[in-house]
Amino acid sequence: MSASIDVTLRLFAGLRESTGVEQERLALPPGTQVAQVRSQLADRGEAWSRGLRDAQRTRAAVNHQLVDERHELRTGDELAFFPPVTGG
Amino acid sequence: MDWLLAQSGPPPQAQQIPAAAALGRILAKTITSPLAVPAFDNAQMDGFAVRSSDIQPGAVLSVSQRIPAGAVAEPLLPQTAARVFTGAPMPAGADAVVMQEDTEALGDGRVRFHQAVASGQFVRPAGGDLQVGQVVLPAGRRLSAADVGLLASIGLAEVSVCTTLRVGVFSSGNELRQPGEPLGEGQIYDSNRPMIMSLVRGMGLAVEDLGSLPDCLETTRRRLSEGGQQCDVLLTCGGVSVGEEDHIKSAVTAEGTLDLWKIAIKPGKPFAFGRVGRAAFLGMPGNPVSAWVTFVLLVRPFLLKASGQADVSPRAVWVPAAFDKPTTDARQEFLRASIDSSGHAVLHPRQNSQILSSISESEGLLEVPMNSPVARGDRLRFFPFSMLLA
Repeated sequence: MSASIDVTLRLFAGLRESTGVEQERLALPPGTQVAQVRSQLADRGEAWSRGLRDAQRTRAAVNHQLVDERHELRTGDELAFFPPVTGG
Repeated sequence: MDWLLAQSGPPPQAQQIPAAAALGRILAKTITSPLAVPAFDNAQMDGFAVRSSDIQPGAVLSVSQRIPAGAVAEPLLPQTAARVFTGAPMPAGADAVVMQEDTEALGDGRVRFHQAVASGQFVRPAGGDLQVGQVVLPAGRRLSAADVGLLASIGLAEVSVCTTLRVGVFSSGNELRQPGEPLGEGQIYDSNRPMIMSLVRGMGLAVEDLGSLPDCLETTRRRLSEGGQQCDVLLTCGGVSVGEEDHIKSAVTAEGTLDLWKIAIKPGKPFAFGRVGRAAFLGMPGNPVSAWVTFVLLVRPFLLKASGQADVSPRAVWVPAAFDKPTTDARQEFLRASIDSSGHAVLHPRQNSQILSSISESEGLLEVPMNSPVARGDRLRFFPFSMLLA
């Protein structure tokens, strides 16, 4: 198996509360796109899928840049998922 | 901002509490693991623990012991297999687990293996997750639900956390009336105090409602002084403008020290920092939108730092603008904005209003640097509320 890439996942707001996870290290195959991580995480169960299924709602940022779902991850990246929370 | 954070003083005192009740608390000391996790080699699957060198396709072994999770394993007899279940300790001598789907029970206490197995297959090695002495969680971390589980997994019944900061909240001005009271001429409802108290409470801190201060120096001095004795931090909204006839300013100066800041953010002016007794004093603007913005950008990081939290800076993401804004401002602006379906930042239509609905209807604050026009597509820093209040 080829070397994996190391990505730090960060979750915010409701997603953090429902999963109990704030930060996690992920080992992913090289070439993994944001959409693939989203779908893998959503398969972990209801607490994950509820917040992650809809890319329009829960947005992704890589290294503090808003990215689209086809963005390809690289080792050392920080991938953040944050739901839109209106009203502060 | 850095100056303000430097004023937060030494970390708060530590207290021991049950680890199971530590959700949201700040760790006072770094936690290292007192044990290896897992503590012993164990089976990752239901199946048979074997010596991998005994297993060729078609090999038949007798089952010499049965090891459920929680049982004690005997050393594995030569040329035998042990029935194991997920989480069961590996018997000494065994180095792999074959899942039961890859075997056939022969009904006479023997089992047939369909294929060879690699050493280490389906075995969770001792210390594979954590080794003795390895850092589990660093001091200054706010504990999540997963962290609480992690503490339990290394057997910690108690944990040392920072004491919870006690934050007193005042509002000020004779014009303020409380919700439920009739509104007279020239009077407004006091929205800042319940809003700021809710923001503080949302951070998991202890909040004291210190009421509304009348425009009277003597009363203001007395109540500030009392607040400074019972709280770690005092927050007020309004009454700290430069040059204005203002009792809070005079009262804080008389009871302690005060620095007035003409901070270059919009909305956000004026902002004051000082001390009353042993408490830090932070004065936010009276305009509710300005109060909210200064709270999340300045006061909140200060409170986190004073609570002992290590990571306090507001987080942001860079987002392209969906608009042109040729006019510039000498101050750094924080505009109420949302992200549209194409991933661009759009502005809330009412930027100049004092009304809080411009916050309620937005998803975050978009930063426009001072003296900078914005063209569609320019990348700006966006502070999503989900990150600002995380």
